[in-house]
Amino acid sequence: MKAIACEGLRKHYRVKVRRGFFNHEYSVIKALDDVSLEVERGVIFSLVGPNGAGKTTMVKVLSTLLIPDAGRAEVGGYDVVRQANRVREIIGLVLAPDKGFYARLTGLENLIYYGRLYGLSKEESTRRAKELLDLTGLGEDGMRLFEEYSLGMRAKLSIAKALINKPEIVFLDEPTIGLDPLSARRIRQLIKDLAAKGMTVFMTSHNMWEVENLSNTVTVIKSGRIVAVGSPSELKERLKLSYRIEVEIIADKAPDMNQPVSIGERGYPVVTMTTNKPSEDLVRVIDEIRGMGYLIGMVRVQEPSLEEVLTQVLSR
Amino acid sequence: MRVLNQLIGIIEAELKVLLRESGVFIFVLFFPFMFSLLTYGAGQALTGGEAPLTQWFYQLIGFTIMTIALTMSSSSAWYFRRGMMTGRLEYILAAPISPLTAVLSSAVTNIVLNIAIFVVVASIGVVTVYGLSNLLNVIGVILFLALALLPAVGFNLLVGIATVVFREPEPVSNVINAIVSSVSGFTYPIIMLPSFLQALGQAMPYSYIVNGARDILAGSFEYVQLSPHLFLLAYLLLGLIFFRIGEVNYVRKSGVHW
Repeated sequence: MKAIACEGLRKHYRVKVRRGFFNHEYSVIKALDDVSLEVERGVIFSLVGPNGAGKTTMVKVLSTLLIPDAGRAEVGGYDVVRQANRVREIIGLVLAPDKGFYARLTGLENLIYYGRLYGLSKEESTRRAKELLDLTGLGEDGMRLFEEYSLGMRAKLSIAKALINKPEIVFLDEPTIGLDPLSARRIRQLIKDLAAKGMTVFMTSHNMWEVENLSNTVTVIKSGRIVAVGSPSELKERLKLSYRIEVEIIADKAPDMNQPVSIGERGYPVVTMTTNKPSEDLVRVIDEIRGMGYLIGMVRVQEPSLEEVLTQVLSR
Repeated sequence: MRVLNQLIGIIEAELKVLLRESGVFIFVLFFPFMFSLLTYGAGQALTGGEAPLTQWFYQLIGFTIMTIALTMSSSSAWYFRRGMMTGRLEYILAAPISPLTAVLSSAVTNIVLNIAIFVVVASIGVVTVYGLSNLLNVIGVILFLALALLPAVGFNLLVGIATVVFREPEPVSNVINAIVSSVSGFTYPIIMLPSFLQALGQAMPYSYIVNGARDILAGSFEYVQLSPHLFLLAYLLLGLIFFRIGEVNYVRKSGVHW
């Protein structure tokens, strides 16, 4: 059984468009337009796309916050409309890393409150909240009022909140947005740890480096439609994106080669090329250099980034 | 059991938050004294004679019940608004808890606090005007309010869901509060109003609540005065029905983000 499966999901919004002070008309925004996807259990699944592509709507439909106009979706084997309460029991949710808490309650009190919402007794809820404060690295900061928290601490508390019910599946909508590098790294490590424990993570993010490093599967959504699905490497391969290869030659001057040669950072000649067949071309260049009797100082292969994948997919 | 656990959890959190915002709490406590003394003094100045203390008591209880009424008619609206603005409402809706339980917990918290404030204010008023002998009547008012505020809870739910539908908490709750304040007989008898406003006042629960509270404290309450409250329970029923309709047709279809 898949962790998440949806078919033909549609969610349209009717929005008012102002035409001057008194006049307005309505237009329809297709937030989700016939979306079908499947997410395996225990993976980190990322949904990426430009602003307004439908990522947050997708998370809200799957987390039962919104009822879709058409189509069906199952989370953990339960229908998000007909068995919404079952779905709510097995999911955790982070919609905005700095929101959703009582400012005048401490981190611990906020977590206990959420534990009670999930039906935990006060004792269970307190014990679980303390565990999660330790897990997220908040520890003693759990005794401080939420209003005193930094953005990074708030993000950690959001993740802790999402785990209060020991969910099978967690939805994280841009979990590291606005965080400093250290806090973002801590959150990413937490996400990896969750997946390592068998939890399914469904996340959205604009940080392509993050998505690439965390995700098993990436889905690109544009104007409410899925336009590409695959692992980061599959997507790169499918789009035949170019690799950049640099080979440093230990020589006093640039040898005469078939590839362009420039002087590198260390003062040695460097062969640079862009290719879709990195393995073959690298072996060919190394053979050519060795054939000329030179030593190789350094080899650098730069993969195409997921950002390039996204740029190419979205510009179609 | 689970619902009770959820209910208590929310009430605990809401109570802590309210008690930590002590400025509001203190204002609500002093509000009836400030305004009742103001109107009592202004009345004496305008009429040129000395008014009996029962006139001040009338105003004091009126303003106290008005505070409860205004809180009760807008607490759901504000609960939704705060929930929308802080993002808390979405998390509540994504948790396995009925939104009704969450809203009712918040309403109960407000009732508990308001009754506590009422006890303090009314006790001071009763001792000042009637002496210690009538102090036990305050307990009678607590029991009375427990029943009489049930229609107000329904009213509260209707206003709450209206704010979600129109996405305008202030205009909705302010208009309703203005109507409630002026036609419910908090500071003057509603017979002084034009007949259509009297009818409006009598169609809402608050004039019965304030008159009942005054009469119990003065020792002149009759059980027949309870009968309108039974009919007014229709508000509770209507509130529950419309809340459910609103949840399915607006909250879950349009979302509750701000």
